[in-house]
Amino acid sequence: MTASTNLNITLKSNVEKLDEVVVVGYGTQKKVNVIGSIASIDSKSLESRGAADVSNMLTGQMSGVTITQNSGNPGQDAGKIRVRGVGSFGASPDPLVLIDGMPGNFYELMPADIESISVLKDASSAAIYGSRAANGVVLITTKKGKAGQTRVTYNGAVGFSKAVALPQMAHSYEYAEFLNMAIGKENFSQEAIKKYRDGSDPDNYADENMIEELLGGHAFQTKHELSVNGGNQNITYALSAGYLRQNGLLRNNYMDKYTGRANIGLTFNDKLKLDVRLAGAVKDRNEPSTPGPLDFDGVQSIIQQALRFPGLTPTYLQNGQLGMGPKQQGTPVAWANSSSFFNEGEKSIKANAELTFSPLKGLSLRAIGGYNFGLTEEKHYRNELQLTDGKIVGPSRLTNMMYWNAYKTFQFIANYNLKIKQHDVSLLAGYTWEDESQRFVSGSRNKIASDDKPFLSMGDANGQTNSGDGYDWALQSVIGRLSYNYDQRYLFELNMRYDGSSRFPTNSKYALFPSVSAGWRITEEKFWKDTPALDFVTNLKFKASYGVLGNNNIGNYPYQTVYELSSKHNYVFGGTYTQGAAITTYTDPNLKWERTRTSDVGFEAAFFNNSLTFNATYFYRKTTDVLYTPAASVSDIFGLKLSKVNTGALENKGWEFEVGYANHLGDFNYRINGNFSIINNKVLTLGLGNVQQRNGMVGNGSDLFIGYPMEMFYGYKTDGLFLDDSEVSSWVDQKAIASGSKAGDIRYLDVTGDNKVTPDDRVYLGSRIPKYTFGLNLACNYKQFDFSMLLQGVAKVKGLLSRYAGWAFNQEGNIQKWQMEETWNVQKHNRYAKYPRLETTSNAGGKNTLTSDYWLLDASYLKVRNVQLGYTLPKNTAKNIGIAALRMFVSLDNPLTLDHYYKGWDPETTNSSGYYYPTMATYSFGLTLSL
Amino acid sequence: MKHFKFQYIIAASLFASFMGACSLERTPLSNIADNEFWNNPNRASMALTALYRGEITNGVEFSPSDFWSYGGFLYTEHISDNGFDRRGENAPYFQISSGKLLNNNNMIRIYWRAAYHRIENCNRFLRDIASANQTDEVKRMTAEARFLRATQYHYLASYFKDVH
Repeated sequence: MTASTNLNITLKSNVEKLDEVVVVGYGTQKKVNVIGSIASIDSKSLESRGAADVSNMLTGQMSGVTITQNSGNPGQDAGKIRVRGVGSFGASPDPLVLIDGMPGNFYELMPADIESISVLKDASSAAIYGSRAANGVVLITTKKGKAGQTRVTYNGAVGFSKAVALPQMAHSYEYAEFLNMAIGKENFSQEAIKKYRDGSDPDNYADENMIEELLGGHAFQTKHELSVNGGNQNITYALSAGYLRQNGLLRNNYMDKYTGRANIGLTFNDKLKLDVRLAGAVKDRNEPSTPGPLDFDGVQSIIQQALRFPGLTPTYLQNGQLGMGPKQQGTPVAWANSSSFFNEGEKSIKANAELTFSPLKGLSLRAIGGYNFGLTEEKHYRNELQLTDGKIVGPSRLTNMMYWNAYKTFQFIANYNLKIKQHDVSLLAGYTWEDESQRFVSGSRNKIASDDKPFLSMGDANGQTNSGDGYDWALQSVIGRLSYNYDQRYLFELNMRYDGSSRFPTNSKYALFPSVSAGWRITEEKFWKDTPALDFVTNLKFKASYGVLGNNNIGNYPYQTVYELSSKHNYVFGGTYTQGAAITTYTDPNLKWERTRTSDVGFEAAFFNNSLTFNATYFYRKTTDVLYTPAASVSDIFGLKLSKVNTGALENKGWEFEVGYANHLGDFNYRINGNFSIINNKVLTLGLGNVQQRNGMVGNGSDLFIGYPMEMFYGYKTDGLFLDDSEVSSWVDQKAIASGSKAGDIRYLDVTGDNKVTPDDRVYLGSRIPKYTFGLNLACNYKQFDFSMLLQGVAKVKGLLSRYAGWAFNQEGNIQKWQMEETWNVQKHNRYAKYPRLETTSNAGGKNTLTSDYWLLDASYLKVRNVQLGYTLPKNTAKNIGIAALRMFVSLDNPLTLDHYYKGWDPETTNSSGYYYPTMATYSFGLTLSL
Repeated sequence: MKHFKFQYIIAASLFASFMGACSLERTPLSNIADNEFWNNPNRASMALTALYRGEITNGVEFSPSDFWSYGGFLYTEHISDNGFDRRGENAPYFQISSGKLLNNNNMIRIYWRAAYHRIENCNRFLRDIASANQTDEVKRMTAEARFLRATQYHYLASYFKDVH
């Protein structure tokens, strides 16, 4: 059997585990022979989910793969994927995402298009992707045509989403009362407070809850997919078309997505085969923005300002005009309802063809060519707002950018399989070339003449700006793999990739990334098979792997010192605007990729005829040559900024466990799958950036220290609050960081023992990378009904709410319900009140807002990610109506969160200052119809 | 069999042509690499222009970026009673007049760093233009760069005393 023939085998979901096939780099392997760490998921678990982006459907389903969602903004809500910890504090630690072998993104896919997703977690499986594999590789395979009867399938769903958590703000009269308490005098008179309470003068004494107005609603969502699949022995096809409309919580906030896909397989004769894959997508997302002259823009700014300001002045006056707002620029609700918008429209087409030629038995030669093209237009129109009293917030401003992206690849891959008696050898060798280019042109103008014609020519040419730029990169590689197994009992694999990248410096353009792995299926041994007592163990496989991978997210021209041309260097001589250029950064000419050495060892076990499975793996990943700017180590007299250099190192190590059990009681089938990961992340060195701090820690002084996780909190230790002004003098001297402490202020601890509290008394307070992540999937079906539930959670992680999210009256800000309840001002005898003395603070903060363990929250949570109930029409009823199958389902995504955070905040985002978009819970109803 | 061998030859020649045609050198599109910059004689005036600007922000900025920038003037005004930061004792501008100016103050450092950045650019310019044809214009540009460098040392010596 050759690799190409494998692709024609029909994969049934209930097939014996022994024949199950897993997608690996540049091919497939039988699951029992896999010795790499690969987490895989098939499309069944994705089809009826309500989440709009496929990446969020994977949360909690695979061990070692942590996915966090930080935003619910339609089109921007993709999950952040981290495989086996966070790989780097230098280059971006994102994994490589490939769709059918070509670079792609999750948003291009509709769930019905996906056949399977494999995540390659270790060196053995990922080394074949070399310099891009250090943070894991996500392989997505789309459905192929199957010879046989034509199947037409329709998937559709409608649903509503709402914010998972909404901050609970004070009413205007509560704000006024508490502000009086904070300032210590009657800033708001009793009459004013009465007017806020009874609403007798809504134009001047309003009580508007802007957060509730902007984020408190329900957003509509609908998905439709139509697929046609069929063929005969000469031609097979899988065609699909899809549409997704996802509304956001604010007005004029949505994403529209149309996708189309055609996977066609042509078999010319028993030696020659051609696979053609075409995919197109049109994506359009829109969000509101702010009026032209404001310093900030975009929907997250609107939400942040709505969180910031109390609703003392109304958005709309009684006469219908727009109110002045807190800063005479209107209110955030006015901005969200105005004609300002940010729109991103993308059209892309991807095509690839794979020609497979099998001249001899066991040998297949493949030639692959691919071309991806995308054109994106971004339009940001910020209007001129007319407020009451003739006040105009303007002029309007329009920025328009267009860019195209083109990627192409040529690959030649040869596979040779040879089986002699018990020896099974499989060889793969190949050459690949990939390159990508992007070009953009952008322009902006002010004073756009008409609100409904946002085009640059409608603007004033005075003050116009324009720019244009782009980037290129290229990658040329040789890949190889040798797989050997003896009787499917002793397994051995060798992988390598030799990568040459345009990003690597001139003298070292090529790098080798090898890996080696071995496995032993002890259950295939004669002595095991001959022992009836061990019959309950169906499969037991030990495996280990070791290899080197690279991370090339180092920028496109990282090693080149350049004279920078920009407006920062232009100057006006005698009325003439002259162009200038200067070198601003000293670049290391030897800058290269980051290197990750990973090793792992583990076992896979299955018991009782595969009904119970248990896998455990220990992994160790050490990343060296981490990009870091050693700014603190070089004197400013040098005169130039430093570029990053390959100088840091960090490690991620831990355990992964997977448990699965499937059984049935008569007609009631049930399945439980759980995964649990322990991840320890530690910075090993900052190399040239190591600076010895006075408290003994070595690091950069703010957030990276040797011996601690790379995403952490560094601050002061505290011991409650002062209950009385006189306690301050008997406490340690904390004047250096908090002078003028009074009753209700935080008591900071002296850690160094020098009887004062200074910045040297800061210590490690907690990690933002969860140590424990787990997921539990329960699924059962009984006759026509099926039910499933997916739980996911993290533990041993800390979070912080700061600025408008955590501090009351910060920068003319509002106060939240939890702050009103917990503040020392209403609990004057509680030394350990959860919020200190109320005070107004500027954007410089105050003595109580320093980063300390007083503010750190336990960010662990347990979330119900999905609950689903489905009903499948009985086969006979379906036949009578003339259809093949019909399933109707109700699906709830993110309906419940159990956490330790204050009400109104989602712990999934571990560091929030109020600049955010809440994640959504989606309730949907849908059906799958097959003809 | 002849047909069979022909396909092999096509494949092999395609393969060979691809191997040769592809280069892995890519250079930035909107900046000029260090080793290409001085190829063009007009570039000297571009480098000179940047010495004047020194990356000052044109207009309002929130913190000082240079001795000659808006924020830079504003910050030094706080030493006198012309400037006052209403945000209280923790505020960065207030520290210069509250007597709490510590050696890790970031704003003071920015003046130091910006001045030395301009000095570095001047020195680099003087080194690179020394090998050009010494016309009157080149001599004038050399003098301009020297003057700009001197202004920076003047400021540094005024505020930081003995400097290199």
